[in-house]
Amino acid sequence: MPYLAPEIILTALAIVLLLLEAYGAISARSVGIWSLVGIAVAIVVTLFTEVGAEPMYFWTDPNAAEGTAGKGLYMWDATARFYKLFFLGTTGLVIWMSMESAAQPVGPKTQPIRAEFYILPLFVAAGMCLLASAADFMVLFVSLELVTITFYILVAYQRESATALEAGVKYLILGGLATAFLVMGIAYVAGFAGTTSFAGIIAKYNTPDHLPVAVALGLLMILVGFGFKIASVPFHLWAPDVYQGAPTPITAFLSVGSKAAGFIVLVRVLNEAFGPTAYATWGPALTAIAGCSLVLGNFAAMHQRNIKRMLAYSGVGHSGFILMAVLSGGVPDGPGIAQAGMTAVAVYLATYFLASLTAFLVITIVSPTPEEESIRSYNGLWQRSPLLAAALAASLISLAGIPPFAGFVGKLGAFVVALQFHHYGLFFIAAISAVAGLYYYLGVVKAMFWSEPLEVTPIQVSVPTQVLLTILIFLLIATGLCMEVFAWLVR
Amino acid sequence: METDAYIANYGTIALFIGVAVLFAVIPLMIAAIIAPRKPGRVKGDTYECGLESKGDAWVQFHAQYYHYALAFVIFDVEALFLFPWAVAFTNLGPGPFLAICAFVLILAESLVYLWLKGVLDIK
Repeated sequence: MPYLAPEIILTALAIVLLLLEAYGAISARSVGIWSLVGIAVAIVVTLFTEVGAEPMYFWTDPNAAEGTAGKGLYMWDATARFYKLFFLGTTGLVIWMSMESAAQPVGPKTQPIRAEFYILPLFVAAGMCLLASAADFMVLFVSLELVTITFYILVAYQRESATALEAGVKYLILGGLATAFLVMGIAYVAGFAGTTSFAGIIAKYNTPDHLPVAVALGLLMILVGFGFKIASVPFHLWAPDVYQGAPTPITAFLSVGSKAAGFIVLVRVLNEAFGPTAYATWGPALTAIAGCSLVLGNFAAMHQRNIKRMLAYSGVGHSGFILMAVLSGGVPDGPGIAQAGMTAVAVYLATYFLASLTAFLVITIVSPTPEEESIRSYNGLWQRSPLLAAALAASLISLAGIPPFAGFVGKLGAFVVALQFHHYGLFFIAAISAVAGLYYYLGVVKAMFWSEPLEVTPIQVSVPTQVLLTILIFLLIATGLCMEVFAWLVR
Repeated sequence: METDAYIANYGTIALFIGVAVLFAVIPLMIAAIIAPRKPGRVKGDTYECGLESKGDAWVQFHAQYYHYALAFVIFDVEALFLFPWAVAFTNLGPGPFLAICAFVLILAESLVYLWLKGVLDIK
């Protein structure tokens, strides 16, 4: 298969669907089904594209000197393939959630789910797939903007509601600011290195000397831009309001897809564009960011009454755990980030993907309106729908990191990396934060099983979604019991 | 070192910014100190290139222009990509030609979409 196939399939399908829908030839629901089919085709294509031992380059830069490695814009290695599958899977589940929420009755001020709501995620998926393969700051920036600009539209989708508008404005302004930092940082780095390709930059700066001041400044500015995408303290301020105001499927997309997109570019840049010497610049900065994210995210989540806000703060905390795994560089003559760190990041994100998307799928069904998003609405969910309660409990316990579930494997990897690379202070903070996490995750579980429900009407779940939820619960337990699955995924 | 020379170039720019700001601020300060103050209705009016002003400066634009303006920007920026491509056209192979064809077709698709959605009809 040609290397650009998943991105081309998604974009072409999105354009065709837009035209068909504008002509009125196709209903919104069938657009959703076709989008799912397109995602499935893209997953199959990605699975059947061979991965070379070395990163392979698709496009070539005609201006690069002969014999240098810095010729490519697009690479297809095992990391790229893993993250492409991750993003395609996320998009598929998000479209499923959107179809689920379209089936629910709409309030007076809610916009009905239109065809564009299924088509825009296809563009996001194309951007994220491109991001996973970026080998050049130009490709990185363009694909990151494709993702971010599409999110601006999706976040403010419920434009009649004040909270959605607030979320849209906050995401737009802070996102624009983060992009400004990112592009300024890229300008400094590219201005000094004389090239935007990762291989060209690492060839110039992988020396035992310190980075020049301007390049170090550029790297820190780039970290600000990525810090916004992964919602880490102090660049997390948008997260609670945006997560609360956005439609629930889009909240899920932001908390899983957008976060993972931030992490793939973060590890790519630190690994491919900067070598071990750059660790002296980004190591202390990311240690501080990770520590603050762990403490603030987990402790602020305790006081939340809205379940989406709670998951927003807990997502900030999860960013802290993943950053702990990223902090595995600085070994002389080693890669920017050790293989152990890369694997731990991928495994953590995979477990977070399963748990977080399961939780948001349940929230989409249980809380169709903003009034039903309070944690009190989950009181006695067990009596209203045992399957939904079991799925939410499994995902929350997994997010808390309790052994039989997948989340434990992810947390274990992050903690092991922190010990291996001697981040004892961070390890200590993370351990305390993980215990704090138990409190608010299990608080919701307690409410679902041991509190009296506000209303007793059973919740109807469609048969395909029942099957999907059962599969997700099974995966949450199976991957937690059988860690080898992850080794196979990231091989 | 080349790095220092590079940063030193910014010193010239900083100096230039400082002089430019002073050049504008000093006459304004002098005027503020010595000018007599006689405000009137005509003096306080909106400046419209010397013509007599008509109405308020805070005119409301119809919200429909917002879509129209967005569409305009898209095709304005399209030209930005087409010009350098056209200049280098004779030296390029079939690859860039196909790429620009795809680019123009995608933009044409956006025009069709806007048309079908009724954004181009202004009532």
